Amino acid sequence: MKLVTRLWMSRKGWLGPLAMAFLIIAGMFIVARGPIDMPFIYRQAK
Amino acid sequence: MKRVASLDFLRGLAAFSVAIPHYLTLNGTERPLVDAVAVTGVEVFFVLSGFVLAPQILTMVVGGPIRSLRIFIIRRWMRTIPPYLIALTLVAIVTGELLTSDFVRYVFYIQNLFSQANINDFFPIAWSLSVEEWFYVTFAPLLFLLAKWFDRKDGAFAAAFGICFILFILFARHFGDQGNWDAAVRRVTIFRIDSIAWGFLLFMAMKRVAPFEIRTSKDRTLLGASLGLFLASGFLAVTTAYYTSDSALSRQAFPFVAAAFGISAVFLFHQAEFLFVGNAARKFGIFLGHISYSVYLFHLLVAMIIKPKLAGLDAPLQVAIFIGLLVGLTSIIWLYIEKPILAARPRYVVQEPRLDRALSKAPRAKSPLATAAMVMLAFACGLYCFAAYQGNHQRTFYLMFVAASAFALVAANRTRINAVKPIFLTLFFFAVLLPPADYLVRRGTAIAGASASVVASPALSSPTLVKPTYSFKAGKADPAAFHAWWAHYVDEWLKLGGGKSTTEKPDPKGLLPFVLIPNSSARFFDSIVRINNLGFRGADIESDKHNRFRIFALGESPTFGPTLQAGDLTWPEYLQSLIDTELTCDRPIEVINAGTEAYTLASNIERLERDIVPLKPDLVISYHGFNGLATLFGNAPFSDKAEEPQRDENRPSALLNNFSYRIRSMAYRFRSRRVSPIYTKDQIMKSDYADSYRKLLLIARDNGFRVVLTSSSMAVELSSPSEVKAFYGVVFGGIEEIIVRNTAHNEMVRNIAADENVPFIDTVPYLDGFWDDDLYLDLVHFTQAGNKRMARVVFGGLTDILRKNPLLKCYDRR
Repeated sequence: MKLVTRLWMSRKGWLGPLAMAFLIIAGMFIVARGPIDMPFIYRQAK
Repeated sequence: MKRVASLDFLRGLAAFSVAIPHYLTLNGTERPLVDAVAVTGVEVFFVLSGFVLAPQILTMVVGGPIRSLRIFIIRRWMRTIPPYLIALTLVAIVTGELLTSDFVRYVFYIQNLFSQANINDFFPIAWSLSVEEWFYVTFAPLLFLLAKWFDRKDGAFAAAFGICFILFILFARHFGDQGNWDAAVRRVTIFRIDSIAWGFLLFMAMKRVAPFEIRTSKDRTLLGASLGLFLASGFLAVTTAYYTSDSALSRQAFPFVAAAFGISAVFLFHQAEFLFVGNAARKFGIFLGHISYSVYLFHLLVAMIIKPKLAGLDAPLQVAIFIGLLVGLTSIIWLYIEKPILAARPRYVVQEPRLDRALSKAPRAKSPLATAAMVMLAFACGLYCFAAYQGNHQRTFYLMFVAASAFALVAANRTRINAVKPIFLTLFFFAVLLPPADYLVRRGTAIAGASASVVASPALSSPTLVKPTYSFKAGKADPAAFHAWWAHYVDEWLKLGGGKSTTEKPDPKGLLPFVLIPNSSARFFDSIVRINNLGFRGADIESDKHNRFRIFALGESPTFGPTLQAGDLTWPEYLQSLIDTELTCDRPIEVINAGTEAYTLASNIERLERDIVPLKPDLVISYHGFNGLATLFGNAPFSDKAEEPQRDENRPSALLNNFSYRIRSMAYRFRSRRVSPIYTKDQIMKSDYADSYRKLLLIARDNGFRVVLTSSSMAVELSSPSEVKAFYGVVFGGIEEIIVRNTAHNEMVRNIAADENVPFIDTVPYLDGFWDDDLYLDLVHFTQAGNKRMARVVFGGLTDILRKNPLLKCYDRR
């Protein structure tokens, strides 16, 4: 965690923020994934 | 100004004097006195805030360069906004209000600018924070401009401005809606922004007053007097707050009495600084001051989460646990969020002599106007981006997102605050990476969707799927099989229904959803659903009953019976075989399945008069429930269930859309773990449902047959594990409300049976909530085991009625 903060906050460059953006997107992917909901399939079947 | 530990202590005290009353009154009975204490506690914050900001405003802003004004506002924003946004977001997640228009108004502190603009005030404490923010951006800049204009930087001018400010707001307050004083005046920014100016004036008045010392008797007397003043004004403030709803005088007086209380509190604690000279006392005071802001921000969130869990404990113990958790949480927030941000705040620059400035080779200061323009552009693009998201304009959304983050990044680079640069650079990268990420999400969904539709297509569904895997255990063990099963199951139902199939046609009279076609049949899974010569499910019957005792099982689809395999029986058929094998009667007994899928009790009454009465029934068993729960009980909610989140289709960003939906679903699931019924007996007994039951009994009396009422059972009931309820809820949306309505239905049937002296068979003890016994195909339809048990329960209730019937003279065969 400390490493991430340090990398992120390093004033030198863009690498830290880029890595952070990737991490955030990856995190959102994990949350947004999961089985398709039933109502979705239900609508399709209809 | 050096830190005054006693004022910090007061700040902490004020925060807890709001938090604890809020904990006590949350979701509970009204306690006006406790509320009045909380209302008064907030007012102390205002005076305190004006008091501690005054030295900055007086020494740096008034007569200083514009840079100081800018630094003043940035410092205030960095102090107040980040924790506020965190608290707001968390509360919005818990209450399911994330990214709603109410949420956006909170973000910009405009929910209570001139009146209460929000539909749902889900973050009620935000009103006072809006007052604070608007004070920063109005009071200090106005004073700065006027001081420049009149070229005055003396205290008298600032004091006159402060007094005018208060008088102006006093004047404005008369235009407030006095009839709705608490929401429309007390908590509205434009009417309350003067509260902070009182603290400003207090600071100016106290500049020459030295803190008391306990050694001299004069000081001791003065301390006693200020303590008396504090207590008296506190009493007066709470009393005034208590009576504001009844008394116009209280409403007019409250802002002044509250200000007087705040002033006396700040004065007393400021003067009593000697109490905090000890190291421990000083540290404790300062600690309370540090956590006070987040205590104020986060106390509602903590209370919302823990209060339901602590419901069984004594109130003092609950409060102690609440305080403990709150202090723990806010200490973490202080250490890891607030403290680092405070350290990164820009400092005021003390004017250097002009010569030194010329000599030093510092780069030319960047124009604040250009920075402000960048900030405005970022905001504008951000708003446009938000509108494009809501309006489903994909390209505009992506473009505006990138533009907004780019402008914000440029603005951040122009400031001297290093900590914000990586944040905006991250945002910028995020905006750039979002379109490819969305592409991946969409592709993933398309593949899954395609495979699902393959499963749903009947031509390709394999016969091995014809297995009732729709039990919680089986579904959990093999989600893929469960999904496939469900798609197939729905498809089979659709083949049966809709008035367009081989067994159903539109009602010629137009009163019923459809009617069953006599002498027809349809395939349902591996079984044949046959409609007999008279339009009932099952084998053919004669119109004339001769000597037979005729029982009609009147019901919905669970009675009609979704049978899966050849040889499966519906519960009326099992009932017939139980009667045949276990009873011997003088007359033969005939059970006819009068269930129809999708019919409500109201439809069945129409059918009873049309098709069943002519067949001379002797007894009608009514098994109704689910189909009428929505239509016959009306729209008013029966439970305090939260609104279920809806998944929006085709949002510009699939990732953001799915993410927000998941978060809202999680919040929804979290909130609907405990749902309580809120319906009244009157509500159910006067419903269309109750009227339909009464009509059924009336028809029975008029036509000389008996009716047996039954309660309705489902796979889950109120106390079933939330995981299982969620499982069934995936298909039967609003499961909690359905369960509560089913409970209400059963209560209603029981009452009607008792009132009208009609036999009642309670299926609940044997069937309701037995989700783990493989009795159900889904929430309401029985498996073969379920049909058997249902028939057994009805038979058990019926035996006595049949035995006592003098025309039947039944007795047990065993």
